[in-house]
Amino acid sequence: MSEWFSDISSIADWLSIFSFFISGYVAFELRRIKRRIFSKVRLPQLIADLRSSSGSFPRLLGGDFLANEQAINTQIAVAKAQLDILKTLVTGQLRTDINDIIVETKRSIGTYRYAAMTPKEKSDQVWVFYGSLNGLLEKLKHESERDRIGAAQ
Amino acid sequence: MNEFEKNVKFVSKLVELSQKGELEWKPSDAPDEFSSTSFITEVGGQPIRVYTFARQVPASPSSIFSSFSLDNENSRTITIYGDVIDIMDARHRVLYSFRDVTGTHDLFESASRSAANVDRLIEAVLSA
Repeated sequence: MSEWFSDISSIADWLSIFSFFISGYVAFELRRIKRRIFSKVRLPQLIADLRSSSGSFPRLLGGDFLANEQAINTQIAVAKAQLDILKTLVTGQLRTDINDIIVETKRSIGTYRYAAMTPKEKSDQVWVFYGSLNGLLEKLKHESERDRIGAAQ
Repeated sequence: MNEFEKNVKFVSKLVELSQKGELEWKPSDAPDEFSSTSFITEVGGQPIRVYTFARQVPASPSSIFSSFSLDNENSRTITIYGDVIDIMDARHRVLYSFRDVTGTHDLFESASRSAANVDRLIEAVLSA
């Protein structure tokens, strides 16, 4: 009888170890699916918002830089915040690209050196930022098209 | 730098040059019935044209477009919007087209603003 209890007990031990791993796997899968759904829903809107931010730079930079400087700085801050959020929703090369833009922007815009620049030099830096944003948006567009093609197949 | 990165840099630079007033855009006829008024400039003697289009096409589940909208709930067509930059020869024959490269719509707006002399017009009205 005691042997029987011992067998049952060891089976229960194995089952609890097994269910522990199953729970871990389910939690991992749930997190992955949640992240995937979240990025599928949020990503198009974030890309549209970043596109809108990027599109406002030519108009602002086309006018008098000093008159528009406050609006330009606000737009840079908005774009940076959007890049920070985007970074958490993508993986691989795209995340590296976003990170590169964020690091490059920190080095070029918003530093003491930038503050001491002439309006023309500042404007040139922001044009570089605009070009980088457009490059990233093009990559994001290609990625989302590839996803759509994948989904259609 | 791969090809599409070069294309984006090219378009972004055209936007920058247009906004700095280094490219002079002139209005021109729409290339076809689906397109807007186009705008033409020259870079190094090479004519460049930019325009937007809106075209209706039959809707199909496998249609893959960069931007579109359903015309209405029961509609079987969708409207595709796009922006095009044409590189042309001296006789204005299209040699190459950039379609929907990011920044092309910004270029269209810059060209339109430049061709219409909007800034001068605004200043004239405000100073009157």
